[in-house]
Amino acid sequence: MRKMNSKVSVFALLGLLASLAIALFAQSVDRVSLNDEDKTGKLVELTVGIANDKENVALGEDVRISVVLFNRTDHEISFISSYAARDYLIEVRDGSNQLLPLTENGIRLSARSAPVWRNRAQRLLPGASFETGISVTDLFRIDEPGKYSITVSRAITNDNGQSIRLNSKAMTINVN
Amino acid sequence: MSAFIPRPFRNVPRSFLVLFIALASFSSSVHSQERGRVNPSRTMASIFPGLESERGCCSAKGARNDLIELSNVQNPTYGVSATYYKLGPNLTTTLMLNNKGPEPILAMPRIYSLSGTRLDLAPISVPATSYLEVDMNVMLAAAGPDFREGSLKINYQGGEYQMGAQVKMVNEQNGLIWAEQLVYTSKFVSNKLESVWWLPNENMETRLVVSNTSYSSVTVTLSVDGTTPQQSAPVQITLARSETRVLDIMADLVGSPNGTLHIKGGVSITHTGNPGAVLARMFIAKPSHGYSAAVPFIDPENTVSQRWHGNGFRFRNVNGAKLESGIAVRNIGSSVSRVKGKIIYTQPNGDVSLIHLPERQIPAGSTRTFDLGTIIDNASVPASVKIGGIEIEYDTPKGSIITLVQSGSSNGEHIFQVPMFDPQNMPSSAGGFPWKADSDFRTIVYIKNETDQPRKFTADLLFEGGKYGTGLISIKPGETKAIDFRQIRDDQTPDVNGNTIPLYLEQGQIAWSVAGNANKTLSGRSEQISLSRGIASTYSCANCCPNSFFAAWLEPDAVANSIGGITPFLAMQQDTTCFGTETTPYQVFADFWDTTNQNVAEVEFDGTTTAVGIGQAEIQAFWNGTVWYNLEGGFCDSYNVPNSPTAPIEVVPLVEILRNGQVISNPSITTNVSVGERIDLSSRITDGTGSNSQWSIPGTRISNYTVTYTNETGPTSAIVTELAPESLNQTTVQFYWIDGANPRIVEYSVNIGNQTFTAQAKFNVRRPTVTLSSTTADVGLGSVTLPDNSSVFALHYGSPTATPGITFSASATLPPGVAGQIVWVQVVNLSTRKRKPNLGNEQVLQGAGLDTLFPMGIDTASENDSPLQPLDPSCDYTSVSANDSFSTFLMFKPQVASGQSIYVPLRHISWSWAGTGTRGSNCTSWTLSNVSRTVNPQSMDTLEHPEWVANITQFEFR
Repeated sequence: MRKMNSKVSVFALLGLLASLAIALFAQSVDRVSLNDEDKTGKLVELTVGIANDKENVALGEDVRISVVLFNRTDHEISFISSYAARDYLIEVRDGSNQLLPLTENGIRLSARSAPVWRNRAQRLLPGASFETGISVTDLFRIDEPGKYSITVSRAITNDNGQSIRLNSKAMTINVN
Repeated sequence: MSAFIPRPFRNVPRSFLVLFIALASFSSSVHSQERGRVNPSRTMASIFPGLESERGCCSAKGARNDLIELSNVQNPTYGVSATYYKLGPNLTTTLMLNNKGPEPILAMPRIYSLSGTRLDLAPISVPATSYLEVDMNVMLAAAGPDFREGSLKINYQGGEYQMGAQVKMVNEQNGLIWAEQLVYTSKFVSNKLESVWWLPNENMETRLVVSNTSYSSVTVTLSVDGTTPQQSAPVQITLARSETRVLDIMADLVGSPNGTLHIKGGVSITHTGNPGAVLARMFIAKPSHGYSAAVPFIDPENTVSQRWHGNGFRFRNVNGAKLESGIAVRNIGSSVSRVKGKIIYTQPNGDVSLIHLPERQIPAGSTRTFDLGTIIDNASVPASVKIGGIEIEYDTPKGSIITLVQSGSSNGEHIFQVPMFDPQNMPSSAGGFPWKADSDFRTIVYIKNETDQPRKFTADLLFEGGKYGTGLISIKPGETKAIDFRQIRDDQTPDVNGNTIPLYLEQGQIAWSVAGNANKTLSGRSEQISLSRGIASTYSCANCCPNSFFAAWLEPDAVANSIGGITPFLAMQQDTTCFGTETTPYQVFADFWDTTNQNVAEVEFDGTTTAVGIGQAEIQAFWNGTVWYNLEGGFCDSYNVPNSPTAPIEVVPLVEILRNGQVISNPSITTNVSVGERIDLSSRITDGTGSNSQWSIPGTRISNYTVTYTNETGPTSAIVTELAPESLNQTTVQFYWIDGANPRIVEYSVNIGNQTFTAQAKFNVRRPTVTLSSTTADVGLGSVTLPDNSSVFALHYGSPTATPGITFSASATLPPGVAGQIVWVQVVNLSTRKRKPNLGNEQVLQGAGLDTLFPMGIDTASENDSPLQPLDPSCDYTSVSANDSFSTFLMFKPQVASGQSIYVPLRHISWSWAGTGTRGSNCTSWTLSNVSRTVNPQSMDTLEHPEWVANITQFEFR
């Protein structure tokens, strides 16, 4: 919050550090990332991890993931932020590498004609991150136990107005 | 309960002779008399630069005293006289009239020309307990040239010593001042007058003025010692009634105009009149050096001891500069006198120290001077010590030694004379002085203990609209205390009652008095000093008697306390001056304290009371107040009045408010909290059982604000729980404040027995301040960019990739000591979206709730939104509309060390947008209509939380 006073800025920094800590923690648990280089050669990193630290979940239990977009470049990046099913392309595959079908909620929310109330032009400063929590089971039908891999991707725009697509590495969960 | 003495007429009635004199003096008249003269043409012109000699004549016009009706005369009339006054173009001559009584007083000036012509002027009303400075040039503007120079008398009706007066002749151009305090001629006991002079050098201008204050001619014999050649024989002159003569010592007394006046010497006067019939004064000037002095004459037989004491003896100037000081001693007796003395001063640590003056022998008929500065230097007096006292004693008969003590700056510009007096023939130990503090004038009061016992005194500054009192001041044997009310004013030092002297105040009256029944133990005077003008004058006007006890009481006058509670009771006393003016109340130290019930309250020797049991008791203090009576002849006598004021104390159960186990219901405690911080309060009753608890919690407060949110697709809600009335009837209460205030008082009351007891806790509830503004764009219809950077046809409010529909800007300031998080929260108040497919019915979505995310942003300075309703593909629809209203909040959640906190709303903006798209004949021909939006909506402070039970994303078209 650049215009706010120093104390608020401190909390902004704390928030930033908290996000960084979450991102680092996610890396240490079960997370893979796919890093796309922008034209400067530096990285904008998209990572996906388990939000509730549970690699193994019971069938029917909520599977929540945390997606973190980390700007490691020295310039601002921008993207549109509305809601997760719209902002991210999420793929969940079973042990046979088959894509899981969407739930009704997932179908409704990810439709291109779905109504939009929050539709924000978001900017991410160098060193800043942006985290989104997503309930996978709200969007995808996980009807059977098994091992599932999850990937996310999204588009960003660099400071030259170029659109870049970021893809995370796949992460795995076990549904028992 | 307090005790007081009604203010009776404490003065014993005076004789009708005084009244007769008063009546006689009221007659408006102008008299001229014949007079004898030595040199009638000589006046004071030569020592008042620029002023030509003005001889009196025989007629004068003055204001007639027609205003006093004789039938109104009720009080005795007194008169005070001055030796000499003079008017001139380079002189500012003022008559100061000081009324120490509680009622206005009429002063009746009677002016005498040099020749004794009398002029009664109109009375001057002097307001109660204040002083006037009258410009005598104005007062005598209508008088003839005879009255440019002469003597004067002030008559007044009132009490003895109630009126004080002083004539000041000031030559500001040269920094010269001659001041003379008017005297009661009735206080003289002989027909002798003696003086001693001490000049800085031999080339001084001097004049001797003798004035006949009686209505008979008198023969005056003048002897002078200290001239070359010596006076061959005393000179006799005859003064007609009321005549004043200005004499040149060398020409008129020695008969040698070109002779030399020594730097030290003296004049002795005898006269044929009654005691007090003749006044004399010697005036000295050195205009080129700014030096001036007036040498007083004393009645040598009006002494009862072989001592001379003086207070306010200056070692250093007001500005700290060192002064040269000395003493002149004249032996008017017939034998050698051994003279010794001491200087007494107070060390910075409060100890009293002595400097003994070596014994000197003064031959009969001679004058000696002694340097005191060297003696003080050798004593290593600390530089911070500016004043002290001086005491001289001699072994020849009383009145045979005359002294003059003075201090002066090395350039002679500032001269501080120390009036010397007989310590066993003092006036009463009480007085009233004018306090002047305009420009750089400073009035300093000196009080000296003339005994070998510790004493106490009070000093008050009385002024229009207020009083300032020092309370009881202890003074050690021989010690001199200096009180500078101007410094007290400038420092805004509170007095014993917490009052300060207003910074604008420049005039008032000082009233001081010894405490108790020890009259004539302390001496006092005042000194007015202006460094910039180079002038200083002394003034000492005693009261008829010391202050008398008037009222007594205890403070506080009633107390309710709980067991263990300590109350420091104070014994308070108020006095009146002998003229009836009430002085400032002050604390006394009671002889004894008592309680009527030791099982309820115990009291210590100093009034400290401890509550020990439930019940009621009376606390009582005992001491004696002194009442003074003024007896005929100026004597005072006293008797003691036993005082035993009481104050009730009620010991009650202790009711307290606690937060986190700590008592906060103490008036000295302010608990700092933040909005959104959970406040957990509990009550505690000691020594009682309570019922009907009731909390009073001002401000906007709630029981809770609960936000449920996991992610944008999950269930969510935000609910405010109000603080239920019944929750305020418990012994504990929990709540959150939404608005800030300082102070904010929380009160807990409870019934114990048949009484209600209350405890209060003071809070400082701190709340961040924020600014919030917005700018808006237009509603559009067409292609917009999606998050995946693809495009879609939509009815939209602005665009995130171009100009957002609405952009918010904010800034926040957190109060000192407050930390936390400021977040953005947006709710959809109502959203109505409609679309008409090519086939089928119109589809409608209507909902309200959280707008997608909670929070929308954290600690960001800017947010934006561009809501839209896409149609994909647009050819599948024939119309589309949106009508949304939103509220966007800035909320604060404090970071607390322990306990819980909630989000509280700070500021919000309400905004909306709407529009309709209608397709034409083909897929690309859409038209936009029914457009509306709030343009740059303003923000408002808010105490209303946003509430919701659903996420807007959960609503579908149907």
